[in-house]
Amino acid sequence: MGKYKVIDLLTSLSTGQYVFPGEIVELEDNAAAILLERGSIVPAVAEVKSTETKKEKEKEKEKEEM
Amino acid sequence: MAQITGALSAVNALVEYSANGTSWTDVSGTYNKISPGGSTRKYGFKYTFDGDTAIITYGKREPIEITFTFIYTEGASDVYKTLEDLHVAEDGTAFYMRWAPKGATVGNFVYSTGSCKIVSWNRPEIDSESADPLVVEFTVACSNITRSTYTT
Repeated sequence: MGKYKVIDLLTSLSTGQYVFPGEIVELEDNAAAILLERGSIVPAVAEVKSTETKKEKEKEKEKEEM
Repeated sequence: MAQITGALSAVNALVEYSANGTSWTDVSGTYNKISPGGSTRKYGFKYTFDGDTAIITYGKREPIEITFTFIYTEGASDVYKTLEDLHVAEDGTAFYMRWAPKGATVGNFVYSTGSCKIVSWNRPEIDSESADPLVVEFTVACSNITRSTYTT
């Protein structure tokens, strides 16, 4: 099981409802592997990390410039 | 370019009906064919005295008509009676349809009508020379067909 950020509009097989882009969903590995390959989801943790890294880099740049 | 390998037929397709867009009923065992009409965008054009081609401008996307065909049966809760009742109700009653050409498996596309009403309803055609099951065709109009991807 892992947490993923939704990229494409999804339809849940269990509830029949839409899962909208931007939402965080918890998926089993098999389902996640298929959707990751299609680009319909991205790992939620990895994306947060990359955002944090970006922010850290921007802060470092600002410090250097000062 | 290498020949593609992902081609499919409709052999495993899924069709679902919903009265409210929340709870869905699998009606794959009744439906026979789905023919989505073209998704068109309005456009206009005018000519001027100069030049040989038109000046063209574009508008908004037009509504889409989808024609469904299903097997005619006469049970009290069967598709024929259910849908005819929706159609002949005062002002018409809205419902929802969706279908998955590749079936209900994670990663497959699902196409949904959103809320729609029947705009053309046909009674079954009967032909003494045919041995085919009787079918009924109807058309709904909707503002858009939404594509999504099945997940768990």
